[in-house]
Amino acid sequence: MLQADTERYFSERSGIAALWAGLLAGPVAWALHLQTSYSITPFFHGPGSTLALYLATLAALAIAAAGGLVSWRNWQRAGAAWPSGEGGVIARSRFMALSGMIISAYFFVTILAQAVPIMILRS
Amino acid sequence: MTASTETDRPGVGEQASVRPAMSRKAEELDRTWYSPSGFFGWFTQVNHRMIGKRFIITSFIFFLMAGIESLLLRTQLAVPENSFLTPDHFNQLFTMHGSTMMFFFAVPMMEGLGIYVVPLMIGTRDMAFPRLNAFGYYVYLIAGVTLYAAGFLGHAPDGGWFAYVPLTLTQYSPGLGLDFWATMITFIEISALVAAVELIVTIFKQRAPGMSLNRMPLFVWAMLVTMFMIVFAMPPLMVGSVMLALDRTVSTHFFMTSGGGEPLLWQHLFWFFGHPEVYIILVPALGVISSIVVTFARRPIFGYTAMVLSVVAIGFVAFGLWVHHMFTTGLPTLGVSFFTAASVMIAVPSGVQIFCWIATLWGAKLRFATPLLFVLGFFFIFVLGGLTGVMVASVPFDTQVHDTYFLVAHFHYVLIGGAVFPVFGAIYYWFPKVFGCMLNETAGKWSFVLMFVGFNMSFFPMHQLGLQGMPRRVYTYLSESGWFELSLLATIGAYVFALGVLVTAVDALLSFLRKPDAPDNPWGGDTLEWATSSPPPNYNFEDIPVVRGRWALWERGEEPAGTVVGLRSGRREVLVTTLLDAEPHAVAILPGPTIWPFLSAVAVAAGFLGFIRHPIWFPIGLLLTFVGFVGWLWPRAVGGSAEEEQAR
Repeated sequence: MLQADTERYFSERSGIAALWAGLLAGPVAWALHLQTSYSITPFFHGPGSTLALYLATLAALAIAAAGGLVSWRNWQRAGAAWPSGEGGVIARSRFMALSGMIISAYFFVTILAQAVPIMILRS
Repeated sequence: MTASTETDRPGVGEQASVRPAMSRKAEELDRTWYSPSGFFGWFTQVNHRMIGKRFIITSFIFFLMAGIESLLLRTQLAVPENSFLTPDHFNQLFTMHGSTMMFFFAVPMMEGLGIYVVPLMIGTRDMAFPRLNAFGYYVYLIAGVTLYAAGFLGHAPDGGWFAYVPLTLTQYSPGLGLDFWATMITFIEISALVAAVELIVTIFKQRAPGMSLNRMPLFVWAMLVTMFMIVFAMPPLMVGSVMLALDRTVSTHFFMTSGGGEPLLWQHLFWFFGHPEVYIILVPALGVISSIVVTFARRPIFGYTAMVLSVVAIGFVAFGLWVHHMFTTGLPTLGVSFFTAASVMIAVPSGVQIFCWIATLWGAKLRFATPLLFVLGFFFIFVLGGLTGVMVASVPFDTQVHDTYFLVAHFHYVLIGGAVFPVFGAIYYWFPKVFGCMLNETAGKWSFVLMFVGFNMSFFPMHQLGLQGMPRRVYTYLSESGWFELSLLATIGAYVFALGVLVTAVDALLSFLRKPDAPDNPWGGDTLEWATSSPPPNYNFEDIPVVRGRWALWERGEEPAGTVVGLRSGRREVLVTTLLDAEPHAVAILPGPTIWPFLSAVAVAAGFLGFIRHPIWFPIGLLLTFVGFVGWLWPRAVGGSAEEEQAR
């Protein structure tokens, strides 16, 4: 019964949207962070001007972390097991959820790496 | 992991079996999916295998032409103060070499592989938009032939494959060469974009039942990511090259500082395309390598999920690196540092892939056939290119080696290692499937050895030449510079490499003289293209297979997996499945052969080419294209045979 509910959830729009959201939040956060930071850098000069860059970084990190969290919850719901090559909705959902967790973590670290120059070059 | 046992797998190196006579269904399918032959028939073919084969062969011819250009360049640079080429010819040759390799060889070759292999690998009979597929090929062919014809008629471009402004504006490059370049580059991007659209839709909607996302072959994943990259990377270049063409033909001022334009805008637009372009070439090659590694290690890949995620991550981060081509343009230091971070971080997923392949190969009973040799060559060369890539991601180091031969060495290690070696591996791997006969193994091994030795002899010394300060894009150098010995070594290496390429080319030509005798699955591969005959019939599969595992053929087991029923044989029907789980949910009827894609491509080409002479050709081209598209989309009869209707 529980499995049937899970299958139904991940076959409906809300479940599928949650899987995609978890998968894409990290990359989208990173892309927004890069574009925003790069675009606003030439307009800021002098001490204190890095505040906007820090805020952009925090916002991007929050989006990536949210993506990871959504994926983690999806993964728990799908049985919290390593994805295999089995067929069916549950196996596919596990695969997407775990992928979302890993990719969110990767882009979280990438956003952090992009924030390092802000600390060094403007301190 | 659902590893299959040794006994599950088909026999390796099995002999071609005597095929039974075609069934009635197969005969009808053969008629339905028939490709017209003959000279006029050639212009009407739309089947994906025909179009894919054309892309592969045409791009290989362009590869040979670009290779000859590089040999001429290396001959000029073999000795100091050489006068083998004039400075103008040198500029034209390196422009055509770069443009041909990037636009007319690497991308179309990868598209060709995708167009040919992907539908077979996912178990369908054709691609989603067969006529668009044919249109894309004609656009590509016309663009390539026109650019070369213009070159032979004295209008070769000479501003480099990157065409930096203001050098490429009419003030400094008054001839027609760059007009042809800008126009044909815009034109050929149409070809890349239509291939991307078709492959994305085909992969998402036409996978065999059971091939859910978590079971998709890694090659298909790689092609999917690549095609999405094309969709986002090509439009900026199209916009940029249209702006360049307008600056040159109707004197707009997008890039002219005197009119308020901005030369750096060109570099941003070009490299926002140009850097993802490197990965558009590399990512399909990663898929090729995964296919070959799995087959020749005879075991499932280590870390399937990690491999998929690496490709996806590369697909995204590739769009965050473009400014590292512009480190010396005077952009704000903090701004360019973001791109240093991204450039270093992309090494992580690339490294994950390398480690997963090594783990797959580790302890496996390897079969050292030619495709695997090219993959092993890729490991060595690409890792070296990646290491120098991390070096030039650093702004201070990049500033030192900018515009030197160190960069030439770096990107050839990445591109030849990352694309040419895997493509040659792919040629040896899929040749029996495409043409029905095996390439000669001895020739293949000789080809590999010559290419590997020649490549390293040619490009490794360039690192040192660059560190010694030898600038790139110079047509000669002084005797006192101290660059002679290493330059000569590089030239000898280039000829050795070319000899290796020649061995494969001759072997391929000779194979056409032999009788097709390749078994269906000569390497014991796991993916669905090996489940049909070599070469495949017009309809690919008599029965659309049902997939039961990630390694489709290895996990068939004793029990038959089942096939799809209900598709008509009397018309071009393909099964449409759901995006995530590949569950059947519709049937699509594909169009048959027609001349209209060819005529439409000619119409579009007329508009583009005429625009070089006069803007009036733009509306003329538009009108002609409209006529072409009306003919293309004219409603068609879709009925099946009377017998079949009765049977249903």
